[in-house]
Amino acid sequence: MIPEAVPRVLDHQPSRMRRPRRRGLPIWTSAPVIVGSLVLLGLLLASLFAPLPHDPVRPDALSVLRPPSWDHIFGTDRDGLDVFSRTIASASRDVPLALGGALVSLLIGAPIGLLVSFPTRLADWVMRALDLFQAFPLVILAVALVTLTGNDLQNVVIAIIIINAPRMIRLVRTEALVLRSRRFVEAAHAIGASRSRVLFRHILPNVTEIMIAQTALAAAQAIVVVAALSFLGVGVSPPDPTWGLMIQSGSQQISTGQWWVVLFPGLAVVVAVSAFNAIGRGLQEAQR
Amino acid sequence: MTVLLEASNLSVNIDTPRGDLHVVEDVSFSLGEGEILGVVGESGCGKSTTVRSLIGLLPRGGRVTGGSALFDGVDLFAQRPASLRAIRGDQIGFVAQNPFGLLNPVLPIAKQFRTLIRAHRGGLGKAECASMAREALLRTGIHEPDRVLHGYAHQLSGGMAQRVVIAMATILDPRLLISDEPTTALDVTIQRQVLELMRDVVRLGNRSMILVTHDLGVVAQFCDSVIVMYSGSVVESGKVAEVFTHPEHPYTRGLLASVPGGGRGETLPPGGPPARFEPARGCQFAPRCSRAETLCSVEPPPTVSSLGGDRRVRCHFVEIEEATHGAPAG
Amino acid sequence: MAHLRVENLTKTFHAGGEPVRAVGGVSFTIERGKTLALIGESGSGKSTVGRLVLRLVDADAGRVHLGDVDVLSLPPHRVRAQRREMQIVFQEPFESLNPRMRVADIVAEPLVIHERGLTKDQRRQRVRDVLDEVGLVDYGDRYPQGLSGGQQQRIGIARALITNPSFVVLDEPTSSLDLSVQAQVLDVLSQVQERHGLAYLYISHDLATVREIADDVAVMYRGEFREVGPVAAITSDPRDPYTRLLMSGFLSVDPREAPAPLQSAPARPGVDLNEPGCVFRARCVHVAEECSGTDLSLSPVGDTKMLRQVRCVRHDELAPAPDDVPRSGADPTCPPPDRQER
Repeated sequence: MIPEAVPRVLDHQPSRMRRPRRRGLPIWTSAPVIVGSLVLLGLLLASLFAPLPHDPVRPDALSVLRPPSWDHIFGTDRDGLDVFSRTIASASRDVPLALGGALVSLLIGAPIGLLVSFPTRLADWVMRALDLFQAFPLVILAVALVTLTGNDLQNVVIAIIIINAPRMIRLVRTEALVLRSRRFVEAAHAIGASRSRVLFRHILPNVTEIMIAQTALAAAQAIVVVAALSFLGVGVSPPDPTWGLMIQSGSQQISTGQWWVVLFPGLAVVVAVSAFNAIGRGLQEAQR
Repeated sequence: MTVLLEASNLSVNIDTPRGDLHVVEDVSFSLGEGEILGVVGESGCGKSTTVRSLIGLLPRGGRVTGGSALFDGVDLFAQRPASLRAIRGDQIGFVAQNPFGLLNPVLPIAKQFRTLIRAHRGGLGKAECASMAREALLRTGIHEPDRVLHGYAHQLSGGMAQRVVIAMATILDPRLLISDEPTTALDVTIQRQVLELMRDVVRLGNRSMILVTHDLGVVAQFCDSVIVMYSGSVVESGKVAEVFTHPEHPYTRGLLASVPGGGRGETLPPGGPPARFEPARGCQFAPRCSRAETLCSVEPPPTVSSLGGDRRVRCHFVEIEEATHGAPAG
Repeated sequence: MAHLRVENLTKTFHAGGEPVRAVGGVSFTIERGKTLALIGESGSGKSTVGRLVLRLVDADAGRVHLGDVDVLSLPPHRVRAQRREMQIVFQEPFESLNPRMRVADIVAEPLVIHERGLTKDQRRQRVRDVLDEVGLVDYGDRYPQGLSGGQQQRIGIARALITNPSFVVLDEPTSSLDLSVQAQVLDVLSQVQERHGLAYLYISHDLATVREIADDVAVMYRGEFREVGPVAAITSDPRDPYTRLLMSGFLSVDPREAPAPLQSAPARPGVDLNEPGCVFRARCVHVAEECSGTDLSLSPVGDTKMLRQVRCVRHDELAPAPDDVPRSGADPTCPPPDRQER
């Protein structure tokens, strides 16, 4: 009989032992991580400092709904705004908002996740509550909440947290539980380490990489949330551009054939999401 | 004795982030029909990779960079993946250290037997497959084959799971059984039972077996011939009765002397085979060898063969004469 | 009085609602500077005994005295302080070291916990000393990944030794290592034992290493001791059928010494081990009427000065005939039984 899976073990090793990970280059040097970071950084820097061909917020009544040309390489929208300039300018709002929301989700989710990895009654309650909470369609919940509580940036961040913090809690808890059963954690108990010492010296350093990877994936998700919310008109103040707002305003032109108004901000969302995903996946891969 | 498998100048590299790792280098051996060959050495010596390369089961990044392996006249390395698949399982069976790695956890054992049988003997009915499986399990000393067949892998103990894997590996009557540390994870008493079982299965069917192990006792008691590997090369090979009673290579001597309770002579200094990113220059064992001289780290050692040719030693300072076999070594 | 005294240690785990007796009332003592080996197959409860004694797992019943300290009745915060006296070396060297810590930090951690008064320099000196003792003085700045299995295990030993404990559990410390490295690690363990007068509880499945390192041996099967006594006496003249089974599994590296037949009967399906009686009777080749019905206890055998005990009721019949002295050393064959039941 032949195994289907390719054997991972080079030579005799007792089955219980995991092969040591080679400690070589730092994990952020993998290609997807570098490419993803460069794309996002480039997008952000361009939107903040690069000279844009047109003012992203000043309408030009003489050039309305022009298809892509040398002057307007992504065309113009129904107000005569340059799609290229607006697509680039949006990055300075969308990307930091998504990243910020993901980071706050990490700051809230990670400590809770670590705490509920202790087998206590409180931990049980938290996990049950989380089950209940996650049974709701969270995106809809977040949108509803933000719509009801008011239209400002803070609420967009809260929406991102509602969606991502529960995932972060679960991920960190699961990882911590796995680590707790690892031999070196038992060894820490055996030398008399206190609970907090075990947590901060032995468990936390071994989950940080996974938390960072998850944060990047959460940011990818948050880009979509930010776009969806601003599509619905939440969290933005026109005429300041965001990708969601641009897609929304261009959505009426799809049926009349002016595809460029919606295509380019849509592509920008895809690029930003892919870049964050590449970073997240790259970091995850590097841990294998 | 007819030769069933003839491996010549086999080399395997593994592509790693730090460069090409030379895991197996210029390894040759032959296996006769009905013979049990032990492959022995410390961890990292390339023994596992050597035998796994024969059936295309190299770790990620591994590739055969040279040599040939004639199995019944067919070069295994020249085969397309499809024809290699047809050979393994059917003519070559495989048993690994961890039986649970070879069993699918979510399928009943009976279904796994059926998949295996049908992959090589298309058109057999469910009932025929089941009765073949039942017979194979009975042969491996499982008294209630039906209970095992209807169950799942996780319901089996390590020893039972290994018996199931042996039953699978031999059900299609292969001519060669390759087993990679089949009993390392098992308790000593179970180890004995499993090894005796494998030996009987091999002997009764006039099959051949390659047994990879780090346990010298297993080789001494269950193998006909042996190759001793160090850092990707064969340092000594021959009949077990000769190699283990009169080891010639300093490494073989050290290895045997290091066995707790059973050893005599100079033990092996601690350490292990070095990982190599370049082809070997000189003798790889030289840094740990008490007899090493300057020559050893510069010149690759010659292979010294006995008159009959079945005893080979790679060392600068060994001369095999038939006469030395009478005198105790060490 | 012996340094470590364990009485009637008991632990039952609950796996899926069903109670599984892991350790059923074991008692033993270890003097300072001596080693007791616990041998048995996987699932025999030998590792659990080590963890119960160290209170890494809570016992159901029993007593453990280390010196004057009643370990099992210490309140939790005192247990942590007590850990500097009692340490453990694990089976998996790499798994037991935090991959994110440097060797020096791993080894220093017990000092950080237990000897807070030390200055940085004093601590660094102690780390150097103990790394020197295991032969790895220059490895402080490395991470565990870069080291070989033997080096990793010596780091584990250094960590266990740095607080100068008086008792160390060695849980299969060499089973994942190659022979040459195994010998080296056992050497290091013997040297530090001699230097510091350590008491060792050496847990293993490997009779060969037990002969190298232990003074006494206890053979465990299904949570109880089958046979206890000096290593030489038990390996040369095993009285319990289970000990004989274990020893018959040994394979000599000399192809001329054919192994003795395995002293195991095919499992007898009719035997209910929840009924009173010998727990080995389902596999025993010497089984008789008297093996069922009553639970067995350890009874003394041989010279009373040897403190040798065995559980089998038929151990007298299994004693070697006067002219049939078993060979000692590498070939632990035992005389064939005079009659075979069933």
